[in-house]
Amino acid sequence: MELTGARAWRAQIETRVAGARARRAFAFPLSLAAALAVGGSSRLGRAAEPLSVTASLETGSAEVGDVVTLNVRVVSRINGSVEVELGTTDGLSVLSQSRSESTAISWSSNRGQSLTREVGVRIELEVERAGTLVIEPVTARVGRTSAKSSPLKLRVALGRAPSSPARSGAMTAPDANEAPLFIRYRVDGDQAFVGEQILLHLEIFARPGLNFGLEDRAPAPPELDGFWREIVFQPQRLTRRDERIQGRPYHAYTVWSVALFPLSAGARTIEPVRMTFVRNRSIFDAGQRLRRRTRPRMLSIDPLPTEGRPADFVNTNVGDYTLSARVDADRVQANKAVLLTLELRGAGNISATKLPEVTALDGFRVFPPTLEDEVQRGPGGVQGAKRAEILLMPTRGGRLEIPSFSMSIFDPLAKAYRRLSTSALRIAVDGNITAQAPGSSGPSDSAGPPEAAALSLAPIRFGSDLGAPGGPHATTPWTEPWFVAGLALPWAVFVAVWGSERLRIAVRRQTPARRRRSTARRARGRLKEAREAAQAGRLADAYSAFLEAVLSLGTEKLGVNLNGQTTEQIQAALVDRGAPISLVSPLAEELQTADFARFAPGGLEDRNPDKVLERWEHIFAALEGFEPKEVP
Amino acid sequence: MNRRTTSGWLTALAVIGLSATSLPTRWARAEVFAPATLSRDFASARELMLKGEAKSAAALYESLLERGAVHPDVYFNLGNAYARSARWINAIVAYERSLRLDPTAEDTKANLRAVRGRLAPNQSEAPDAPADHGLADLVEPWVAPISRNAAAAALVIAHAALVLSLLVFRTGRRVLGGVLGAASLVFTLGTTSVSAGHYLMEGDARAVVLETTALRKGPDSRFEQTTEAPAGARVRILESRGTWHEVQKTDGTTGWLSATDLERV
Repeated sequence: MELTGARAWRAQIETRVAGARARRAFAFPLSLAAALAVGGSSRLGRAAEPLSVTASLETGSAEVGDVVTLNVRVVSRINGSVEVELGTTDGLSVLSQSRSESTAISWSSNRGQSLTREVGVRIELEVERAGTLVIEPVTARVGRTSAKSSPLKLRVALGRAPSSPARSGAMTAPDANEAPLFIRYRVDGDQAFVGEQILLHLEIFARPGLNFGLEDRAPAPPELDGFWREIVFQPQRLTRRDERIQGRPYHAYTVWSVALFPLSAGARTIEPVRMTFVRNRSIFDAGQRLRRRTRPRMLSIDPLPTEGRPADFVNTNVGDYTLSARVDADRVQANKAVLLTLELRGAGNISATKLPEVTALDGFRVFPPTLEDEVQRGPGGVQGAKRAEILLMPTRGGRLEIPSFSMSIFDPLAKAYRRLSTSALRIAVDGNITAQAPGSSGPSDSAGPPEAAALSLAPIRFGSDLGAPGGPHATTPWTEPWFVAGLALPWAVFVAVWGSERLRIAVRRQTPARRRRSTARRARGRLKEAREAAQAGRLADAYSAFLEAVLSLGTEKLGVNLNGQTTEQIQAALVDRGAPISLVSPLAEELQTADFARFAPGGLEDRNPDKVLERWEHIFAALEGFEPKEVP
Repeated sequence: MNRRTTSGWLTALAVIGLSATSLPTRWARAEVFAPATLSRDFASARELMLKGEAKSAAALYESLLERGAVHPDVYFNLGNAYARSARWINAIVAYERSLRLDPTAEDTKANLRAVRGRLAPNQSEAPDAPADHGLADLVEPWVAPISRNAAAAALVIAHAALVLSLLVFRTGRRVLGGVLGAASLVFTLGTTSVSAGHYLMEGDARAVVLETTALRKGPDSRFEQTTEAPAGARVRILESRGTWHEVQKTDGTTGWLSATDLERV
């Protein structure tokens, strides 16, 4: 029996043998001796056993709900397939099995060839009850030969409490076909008001000890009709936390979290998403693919109540907010401005909220505000602040008061409208406000030396958009490389187009040698068609193609159109130009046969196509090689 | 040339042309980083001015200019900040630069008059009286509102359109090619004129005299003095030799003075 590791070794040591009990002090040497006697890791032991099976657990202890792995190894020296049967396991349920096989061939001088087959079976078991569980021996069979492993023990304790508090939102248990790995939507509430923040999480739940991974990238948060959506959490690496669902421990992972803000009332459904996982993947095993799907989630969105709705309420001001106001100084010199900051802070769709408008204040000139949003997104949702900074210029000296500002919000937690108010602020203005200098239409910006203050200037400019296109005039584009390239490029393209066209025309111009070559190529093509027709038994077609081939080649060679001429005329033309008799005679014969074939195609049936082809090849080659004499 | 080949070339040209149009925008924006930050700083500088902290405001406006926010409003407000700090020459230089970018701004002209009047209240001549010299002055009101980058980009597009029309013409679509060609020719002429106007204006080098100084007959302090250029006066640079410039005052008189007495605008 092969030793597989320290834990497995200890598990094997603790097995009971035929009801006998060994004292722990002597268990080690006795078991070792027994193991070696039965057939240990030595070659001698292996040679004696035709079939052996070993079973081991990856751990000797677990908790209820854990997944433990049983590894079985079978070594067979017998021909035949290996069957492995798992014994009954009370308190354990089989989740999955995977099997691998390998075969080794060895030679020895005394025994010759021997075949050794090794089968490995990996079984995942879910622990269902506490106590000391016994895994019955695993039986391996090859034909009539069988072997059993030793039984194994597993000590099981009750589970621990989860390390983090369970999240809000009901979580349904998995179906039988989904355990031990499933995915779910988690929502912090199935009912909400229009504009109220709803947190939606996509989570993975897996039994502890389960070896799994994602096959593909996690699905992105879906776009949902009827909601404004903000992604608040989407980690690159999933972090594990412990949870219990109906008393069973799970490892939970949040894939992403989004904050949803309903835009209108009614029933809404969040459609399911799918994910694919792989279990027990290793370099030896592709693993088992698992496809999982969430269940659709129904949400009920209620309209904001009409009863008690304030007249100044704005629909986007829904959330848990506070309103505050502050100034940057409570005492200023004459002709100096103060900065008033109004801030709305809290949890909700802060970017969409609207602050109260500050248009006119007694004793102040009010300038347009600068608005700023500070938004934080996290697993707890969207929160932050909206600020308005308003410049106020006192128009008189003395004690001035900035009144309190109010606005109405809808608090979804209280399910009621609330009035938010700031406290009034007091500013002391020292000195007298000087009259506006003639010709200046804006607030005085006088300060510094007296002569500078007395100077009447047009006031400074407000509200420039320094990022607007065409604003900056500093660049000199004519010196930039892009300008020259941009001007030159289209003309370069035009020249290239025109030039390539001229080049193509020049290349394709027909010279006499080029024309002769193309004619010869075409003639050879027709000869090939003639050959194919002859081989197919269509001699009439073959002769027609042959005739065309030699006439076109002969026309090109002699410079005289041979089409339409009689055989005698063609013969005479060839002879006049010095064609040898070995070419002229057979050619004339074939031309006559071709004429005959045109009018009486049936008369060619007794001809041997092979001999015909042979003659044609000879004639064609001679015609190709014929160089006609110059005409005086 | 067959239609397929021409279509292929036309497509390539269109792609190149469209790509070229994005270059100047990218180029311009590369010099003005984070527009939101610049706008925020502009607002902060405004607030400093309203609180009477002109020196701090001037520093912030200078920082904006260093970061590439070259804008007539920035120069104008900087001029006001300098003026409130009694830095008259700096104020005039800033206003002149603002006027260069926006020649039609009446408030800039008014503040220039006010500050120059403060510098030389007894002067009979108006240092910034409009000068009718040169083609640059004539084209400036028409050309200045169009940014240089836009003019240059439009010129590149016009050339591309002209070539495109020639290619279309060669495929046999004479009517379409003719119409496209005529339109692009007009566009090319227009954009060339604007670009030429900008080029003229750039060549029209102007400066402000930093201190009341003598104009000389030649490019050296040993030459005889001809007239005087008052501090804050705007001059046009006609010629440069070494560290001396021949300048022309707004009243038309010319003379030479050292580069150290001038600030280009």
